[in-house]
Amino acid sequence: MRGGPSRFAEALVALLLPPACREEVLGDLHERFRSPAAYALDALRTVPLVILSRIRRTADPGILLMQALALYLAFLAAARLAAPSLIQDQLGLPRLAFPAVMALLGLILDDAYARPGPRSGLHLMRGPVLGAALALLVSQETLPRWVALEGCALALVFSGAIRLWFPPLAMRAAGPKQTDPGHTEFPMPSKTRLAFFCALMICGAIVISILTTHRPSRGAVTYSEFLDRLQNGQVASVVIDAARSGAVEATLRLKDGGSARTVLPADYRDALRSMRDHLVNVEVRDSGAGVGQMLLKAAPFLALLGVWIVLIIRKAGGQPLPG
Amino acid sequence: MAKADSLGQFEQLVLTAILALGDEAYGVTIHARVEQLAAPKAVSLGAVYVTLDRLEDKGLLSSRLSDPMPERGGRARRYYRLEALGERALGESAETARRIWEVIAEVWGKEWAREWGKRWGKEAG
Repeated sequence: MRGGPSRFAEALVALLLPPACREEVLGDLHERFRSPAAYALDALRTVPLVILSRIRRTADPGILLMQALALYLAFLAAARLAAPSLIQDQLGLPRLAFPAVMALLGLILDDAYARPGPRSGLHLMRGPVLGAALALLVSQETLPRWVALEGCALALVFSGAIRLWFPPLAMRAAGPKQTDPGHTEFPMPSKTRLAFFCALMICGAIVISILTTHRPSRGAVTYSEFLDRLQNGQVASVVIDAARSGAVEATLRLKDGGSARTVLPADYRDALRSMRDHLVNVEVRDSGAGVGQMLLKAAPFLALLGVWIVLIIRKAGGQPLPG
Repeated sequence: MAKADSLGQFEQLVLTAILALGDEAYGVTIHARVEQLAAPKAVSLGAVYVTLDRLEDKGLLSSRLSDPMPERGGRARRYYRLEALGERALGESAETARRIWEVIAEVWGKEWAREWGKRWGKEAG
């Protein structure tokens, strides 16, 4: 008779444990085996802590913040491209953060479950692909289809690029870069890393800007085009940002599901009359309250940006990152 | 020379267990020894792994895998040993504990210290 846990129980625990610590933890649990119930309880109390410890060992806080920022920017850019009204929506920014968080989780899990040692470029891309797949899975339900698809594509590009430039900790630890116990040196100077990241973000912003300019149907429309669409009965609803001085910004929701932005003249009574004539749903927003709302919604993003900048500055000063 | 970090109480227990176990320090034995040291508090095996990882990252410990063992279902053991930095950190912790003890004994009186000394003597057998 086999004096130990069942093969199924052991295989299940082995599946959950990160490969880097699988051998010793499985062996220790086997050695402590008293009964199947005790083994299950032991595994339940041990495995989550082992996974968390592995995540702590393989996650680099600075790079994770960089990734979080890039992923959130990817979904923000996708929303800017495909559905600008989503950004102004009450829960728009948190809705965009959700797939970014899932993509980040994919990257973290990929690092924790990777075998230590060198990895090929293809293996390095496994994390971003897993992250993008997870983000796509959750964003199907929470975001418009095009925002989800474009966001995931941009997230894949951004996180893949960061991944290739700044390899995971577990991979770096395999090299002879250990200068001081508890502090593994980065393979390239942190200022260079920062410059690379800034360049990447600038390139991304330029690409987004170009794409936005070439897709007027989903971006800005002139006042005349707006009136034409109104006359043709294409506009379903309009949100007017009322408190701006001079020109007034408005976001249109079209009947075909798309959206666009336009600028109305300071006196837009004619346009309002025309909207009423064509039974367009009009919502006028007070931008004084809107600014506060926007700041409140952007607070997590700004906090993330702040922490990231602090970490980068600390790193540039030669101080080790926490953890 | 690298500076030894100050240790948390649980880290002190784990390092003491490894020091006491010598060449036989691996997950199961370290956990058993830490449970003895932390009694009557219960200690989970997972918490011991987390601390071992952290201490290894700090450079206070090093580890090596043994050959696979049939009694462990063909799995290897990961043996831990104290590094010089770990020994120094543990020594500093012991020195701090001694100073704390001296102050308490001075304030609460020699009678109290003798009482506790007897109690510890009984526990140690």
